[in-house]
Amino acid sequence: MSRVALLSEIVASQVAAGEVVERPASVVKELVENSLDAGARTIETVTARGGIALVRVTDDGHGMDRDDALLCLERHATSKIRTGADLAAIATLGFRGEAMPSIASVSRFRLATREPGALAGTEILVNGGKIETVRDCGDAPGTSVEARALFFNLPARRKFLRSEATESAHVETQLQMLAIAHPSVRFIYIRDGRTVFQLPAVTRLLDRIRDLCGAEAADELTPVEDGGRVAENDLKISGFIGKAGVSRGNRSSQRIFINGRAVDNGVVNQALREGYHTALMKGRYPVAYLFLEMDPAAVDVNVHPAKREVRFRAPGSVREALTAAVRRTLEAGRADWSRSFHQPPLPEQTRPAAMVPALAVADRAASNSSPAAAARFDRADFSTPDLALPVAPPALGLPVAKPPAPLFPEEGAAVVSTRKEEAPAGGAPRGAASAGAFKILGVLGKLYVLMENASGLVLVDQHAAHERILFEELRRRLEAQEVNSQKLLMPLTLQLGPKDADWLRQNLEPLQKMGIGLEDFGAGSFKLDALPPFLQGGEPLALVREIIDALQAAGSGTSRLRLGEDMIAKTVCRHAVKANDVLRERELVKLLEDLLACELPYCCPHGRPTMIQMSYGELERKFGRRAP
Amino acid sequence: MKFHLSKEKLLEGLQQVQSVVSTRTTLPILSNVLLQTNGKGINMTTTDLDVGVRCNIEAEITEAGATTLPARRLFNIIRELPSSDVQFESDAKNVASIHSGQSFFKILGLPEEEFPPLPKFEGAKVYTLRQGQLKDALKKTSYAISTDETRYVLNGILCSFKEGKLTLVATDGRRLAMVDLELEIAPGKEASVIIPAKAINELQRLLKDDGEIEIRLGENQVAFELNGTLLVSKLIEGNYPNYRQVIPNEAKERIELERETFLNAVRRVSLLTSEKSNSLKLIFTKNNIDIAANSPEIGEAKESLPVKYGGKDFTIAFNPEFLMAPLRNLPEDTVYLDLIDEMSPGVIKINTSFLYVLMPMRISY
Repeated sequence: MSRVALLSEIVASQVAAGEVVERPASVVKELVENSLDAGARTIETVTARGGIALVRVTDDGHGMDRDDALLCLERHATSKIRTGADLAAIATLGFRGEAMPSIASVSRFRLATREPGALAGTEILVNGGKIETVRDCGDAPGTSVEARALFFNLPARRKFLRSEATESAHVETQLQMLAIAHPSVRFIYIRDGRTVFQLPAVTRLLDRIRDLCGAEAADELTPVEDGGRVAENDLKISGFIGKAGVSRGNRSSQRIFINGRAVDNGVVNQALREGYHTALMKGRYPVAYLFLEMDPAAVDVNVHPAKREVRFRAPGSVREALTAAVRRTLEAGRADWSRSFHQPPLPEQTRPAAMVPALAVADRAASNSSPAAAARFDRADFSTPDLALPVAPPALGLPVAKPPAPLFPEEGAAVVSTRKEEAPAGGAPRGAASAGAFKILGVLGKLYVLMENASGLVLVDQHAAHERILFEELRRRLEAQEVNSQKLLMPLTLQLGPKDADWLRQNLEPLQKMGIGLEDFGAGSFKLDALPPFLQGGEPLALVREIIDALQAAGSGTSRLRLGEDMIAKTVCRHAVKANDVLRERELVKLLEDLLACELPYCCPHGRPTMIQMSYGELERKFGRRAP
Repeated sequence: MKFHLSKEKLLEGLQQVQSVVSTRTTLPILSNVLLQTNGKGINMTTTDLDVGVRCNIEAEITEAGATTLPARRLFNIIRELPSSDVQFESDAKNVASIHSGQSFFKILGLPEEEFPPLPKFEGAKVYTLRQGQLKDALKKTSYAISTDETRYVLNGILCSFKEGKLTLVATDGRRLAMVDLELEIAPGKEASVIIPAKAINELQRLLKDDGEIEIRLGENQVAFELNGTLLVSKLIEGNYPNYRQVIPNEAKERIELERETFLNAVRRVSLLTSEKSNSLKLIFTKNNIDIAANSPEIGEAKESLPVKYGGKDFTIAFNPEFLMAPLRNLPEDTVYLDLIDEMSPGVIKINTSFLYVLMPMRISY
């Protein structure tokens, strides 16, 4: 008897379903993607019991006639591609022609569809892959696909489904991804009879994110600065990423879409991380809603049946473009950020009552032109007897404050008591935002500089801020000069696997520039005979291995000081002002000015924030002036 | 236990042993010094389980016995005692009483039995040499010991007893210092061991210019006996790298240098090396060296030193710290710098047996 037999059509579909239909969320994904490919403007998804009992996706797309409706249930029947050449440039979400028959083969399936012009629609009922009924029906134009009792005929598969709550969460995440990818489509999701979300069609992605994730999450985002198309593969990057310092404990807030398709791609994740680099703490992940548009031919989506994975034709250039875009965005965000500091505080009358007495500090230009006038401090308020709150100067004032004496004796007679209204010195008009006057209120606990800006209170960690300043300064300085390298007495041999060895062979020169002397010895071994002088301590071979890993992940074109950054961060940590170091007012002004001039002012080299903004809104909520 | 002795004697003994005591330990007994009476006086012992020291001091014993007491505290108390005469007594519960002049102290100790015994050395290889000789050799090499704990074999000095000499070698992988001492080695007594840096430090403290030192080599421990004091230490296990291969066989150029002058010039110029790009250039021209350093963010320095030099002009860069370390630790007035080319190791030598190999730096500015 022959051992090999052709599988029946149904069994073959069930086998294929194992790959395409993993859980209710994948049913939702396939059906919604079909709807999107059909040009739907509204897509309604209904699930019951986590989608195990029911998934129904209804759209207002172009529908199908009876022949098409029947054909789409055949395996490898699709309207989306025709020839093998089409596979090389897939522009639709689906293309394999597997989803419908796969879903139909593992559920009690109903397809109802009507073309907008047709008199009657078609209804097809399928039970576990067997077409049972085909009849006319009268539905709204579009298509409605219903899958009930998922895996009813595959008990083994059914056993692997998780709890209803988990499956529900997967469905919701899937729908969120699809909704974000297509803001111009109205999405409705009804779970167990309750509307989970109803997202109106919007023109802007940010509105969709706001509708979906809330205003607060949307406020943390900043649009990606696309530096123009990358010529090589015509890559266009758009979307939003979290502002520097915004991070999550896992990758769940990284939503990456390539040509409208949600993907999980290592190259993109690495590029994102690398773009943030020191703006993220170790072990934290960025928030991102990123859209990569590229020539469909430059990316292979036909890697995995669920199309979650993609392959780039030129991963290196994608990585570099993305890293650069993220970096540009974060650096551009700096401008807004520093502008908010330079905005003069709100005029007196619009400020909430009972503001603390403040020291208005003039901008640097003013202090250069007339140092004497530079420091006019609002001493008057400290001694005003009718002050509403009995403010104790040591608690709020600068640490050197001795109430009756001039605050900064070295300023001598220049200390002039003025009212707040006259505060900005040097005749700078109050309203001019360009005047750059920020208001230092004082220092809290000899560590946190309190500042006032238009939106409220800003706390700056003086140590973290100084660290960031020194870090960038030192890195710039070191970048300007070549890295020396100390020859080793006894060369060491480094043995690498074929992949690493190959990478290393191509990157010997950049490493040489970084001060690492390596020589190819053949058969995956390398001779290490020199190290940069700052790489001391630690087993050299382990250090070099670590560097190779880090550089491989970071991609080429990284700063050759990249491997010294840990060292730089450590050094500047030692040299930076510490908590409890009392900073005079002039030092504070300089610190903040320098911080604002940094490339990435918002966090210290270790990724901790340098400043925290407490908005008036937040304060008002805390004081019960406004409903939370 | 009961004895009486002078404050100075007691202090001298404690000074010798207290530096071994570890400040942070989970084993309280290791913070203590063991006091034991012997025929003529008392033995004081401390250990951190790696290194142990025992010394003898004379005392008038009235009652034999032993106890252990917190070493640092005892040392601080004895140092502050008002009178030179110290009466010491401890009871069965290890409570010690110290009388001196009008002062009285009572300190709680721990039982003697808890104190880890120092290792015995039976069937050990024994070598004897002059203390001054060893002291000098250690001074010339110990600064090159690596402090990088991941390469633990380099955290000590290699002592090789072979071919009629004791060779001491220390390196941190970037420079190497070596001294040979003549020593008669009986057949079968050849050995090569690595003595950890801590023991070397203790030994350097104990070594005097005169007298002899006896070295006893056990299976994985070493003992030094000198001036009535015993120092024992574990050895570092592992293979010391083959240092012979890094010593250049030839030298193209030999430059004779006045040590002090050269050291001072290097020290001055190195003030303008930055912490991160730590390099200093030696620019050789006819009968002259320019010692130069520059750091873009600080400035630059240059000092010329007339020397006898007739070779070709060339420039070599070194880490200034590596260059100064041997110069600081050599007593000789004249040193020789042997060089081959700008990428080959430089060697510092003196007229007696000493050798210091240092690797140049590749610089690009």
